[in-house]
Amino acid sequence: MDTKDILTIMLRSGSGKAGVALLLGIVIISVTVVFLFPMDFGSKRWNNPAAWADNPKSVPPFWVGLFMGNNSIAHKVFEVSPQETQANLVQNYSFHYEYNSGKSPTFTTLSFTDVTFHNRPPLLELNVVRPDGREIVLYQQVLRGARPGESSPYKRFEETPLRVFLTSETETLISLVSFLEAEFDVKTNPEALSGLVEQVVFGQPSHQGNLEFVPLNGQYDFQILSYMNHPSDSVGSLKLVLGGNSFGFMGTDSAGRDLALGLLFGFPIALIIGLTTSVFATVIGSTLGIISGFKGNKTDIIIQRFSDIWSNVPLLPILIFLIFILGQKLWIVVIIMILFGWPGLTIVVRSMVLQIRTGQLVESTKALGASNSRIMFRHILFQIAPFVLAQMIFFTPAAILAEAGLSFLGLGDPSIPTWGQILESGFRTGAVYLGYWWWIMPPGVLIVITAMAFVLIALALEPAINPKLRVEK
Amino acid sequence: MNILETFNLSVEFKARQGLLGSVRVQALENVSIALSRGESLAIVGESGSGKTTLARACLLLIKSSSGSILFDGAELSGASEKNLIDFRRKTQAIFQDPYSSLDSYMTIGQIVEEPLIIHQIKDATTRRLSAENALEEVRLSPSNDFYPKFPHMLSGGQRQRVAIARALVLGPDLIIADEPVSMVDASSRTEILYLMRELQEKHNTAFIYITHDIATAYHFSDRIAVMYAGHIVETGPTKKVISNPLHPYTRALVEAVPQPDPSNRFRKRATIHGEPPSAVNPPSGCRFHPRCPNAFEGCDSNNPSLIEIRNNHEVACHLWKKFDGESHLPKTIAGSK
Repeated sequence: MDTKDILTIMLRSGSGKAGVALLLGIVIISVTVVFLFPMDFGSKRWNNPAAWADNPKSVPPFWVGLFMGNNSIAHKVFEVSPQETQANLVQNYSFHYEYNSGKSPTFTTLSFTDVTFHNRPPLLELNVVRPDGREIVLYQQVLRGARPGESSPYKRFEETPLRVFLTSETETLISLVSFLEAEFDVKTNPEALSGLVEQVVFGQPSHQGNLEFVPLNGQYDFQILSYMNHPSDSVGSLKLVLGGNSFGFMGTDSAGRDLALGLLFGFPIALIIGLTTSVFATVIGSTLGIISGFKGNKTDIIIQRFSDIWSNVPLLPILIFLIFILGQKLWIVVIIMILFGWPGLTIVVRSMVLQIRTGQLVESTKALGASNSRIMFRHILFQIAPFVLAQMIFFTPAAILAEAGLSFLGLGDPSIPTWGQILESGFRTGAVYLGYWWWIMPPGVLIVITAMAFVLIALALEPAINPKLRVEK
Repeated sequence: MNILETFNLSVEFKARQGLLGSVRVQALENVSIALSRGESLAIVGESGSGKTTLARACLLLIKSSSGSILFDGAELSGASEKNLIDFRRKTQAIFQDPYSSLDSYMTIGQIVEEPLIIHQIKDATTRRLSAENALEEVRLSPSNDFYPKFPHMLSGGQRQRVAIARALVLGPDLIIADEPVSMVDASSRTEILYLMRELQEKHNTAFIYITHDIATAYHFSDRIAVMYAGHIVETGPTKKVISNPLHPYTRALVEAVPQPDPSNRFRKRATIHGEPPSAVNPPSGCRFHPRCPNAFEGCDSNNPSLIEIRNNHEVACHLWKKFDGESHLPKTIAGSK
């Protein structure tokens, strides 16, 4: 019987179809992720706060925004890629923003990357023209000049951009205070305006002289100007972000991380954890079980007593201890799960082999002159194969769940995001109590779906492996 | 030269008793048989008489505690499995239960080819040819149809024929068949027995046929050995032993064969009462004396040994003279051919 037959038989049942479809989906996603994501995604991106600084924090997925009506505000990013040096000493970039929501943006940031200047630093300015024609200078900054010992050309913000968080920028607040006084005759101070930057910029006072604002919808023209002092001065990329209250396919967590990316990266990791652990634990467990049951005598006693002791070692304290010593590495967790995962199978397999050993199959094969290894791995293994295979498939979700559990206890590998770790960070930051369901539910549901795919396949695989259950065509 | 010979072969088992204790069970005691090339020997006895143990000891599947086993003149008892490769190739076994002696996860083709693979016949075409040949010989034809089937798709008789094909495929010198038809439907029994005899005569294979059915033994063996409680109590040419049984146990076995004769309605048959003795605690003297209808004082203390009465007919009984020549062959046995 070859693989094609097994597939045909498996696909004949409904659970087989569903299981294969689910697993196929999981595998396709995993392969795509492996090809598209950098291998150091975990350390370089996921756990790097700077990578997520421009994202809104703890917001639901964008499709939730579709149901929020006027209360939804989309996340907007305006970006200009690097340009060649212009003859013009003043560079001007403008963005149009169509604002039509009942809420003001949740935050505003402005970033500059890769600034080069030769003698005096450039002046950077952001201003906005509102639909009512009023203009506000939101930000104005002369970059820091040459440091002692530095020589021209001077380079700034090559790797980490200069990120100005306008929502709490003092200069912006001061500028808004004078704007309010001049245009609306509202007397206030920067402290009173903190946290109200977006409401002021994208709205007007509801009554004369107070600090309650109503949104002012319409087209906003943002303009970023950089005043240079030398023809070969340049500014790399510019980025203006207007924070929304929904983001991405899966929302964000409290660090602004795009949960969709983390969940996607969890697919190959879950498969690797589940399959590696189950394959190795099953191979070790069934091999030792077969040897133990078939050889009998001292071999049997040694293997069985060792399994008894080994299976009674409390795994959790050992894991905590070893991870504490060896460090939080995913492969250590996997190896420990393999090392402690086999004894149960050994004990059960041995009892099955004891029964098979006394049967006529073993006796007749022995009489043919077959070697012990042939009897053990060509005959006995096949008799218990359905059980072993089912165990292996059932062990896969168990390993995924075990890793999720460990991650949940904070013992996961911090450099590799897994579904368990996303759950853990959600739980740790109180996402459950704050109602951030998009943070808690998807990883849980994905764990369940992955586990279910394997269980469905196990159900459908049984008739393929066990010819007695098969119906002849 | 004898193909197989055992001399004073004894087999002892240890049986667990209680938590730590164990007792010895004497399954075979001083059994000597000899089998020449192409000859067939039937070993007859009731359950627990040690006939299967004798088969397993002859196949070197269990260790004998004393005595020797000679195959083709070479001493084999105590030999390691490495030195048994040649013996394993030349001796094949057919087991009682065709439902469990065949691997249900292998196709018929794989099952029949397995001995060839084990004995290092590497060429796949050769293997396939010999396997198909063996299948044709046991009348599983066309063999191509049976080749990809699994054992559970076949009937009991067909499975046992697969087991025979597997035994034949290496062209063995000796086949030991342990109750080959007891688990086969009555309808296929004779067919399989005739097939085995035909193949035995065709290939001139020596044959040990273990059975509890003395009637089939009459037709399918040249010689017979009757076993009781681990001993051979009577042995000799089959026809002679059955037509003139000298041991009371053999007589009882022959008597037990039903005879469809209306005049038998009022004849009380000489059945033996009681159960076979416990092997843990065997009776003293002659093992058969507690059940023997003719036992006298000497029987419970003095164990009779086999004595040759006339040309190869041996019996282990103090009273054999009493029965000599008085028995007649039952009609069912003589006429069933």
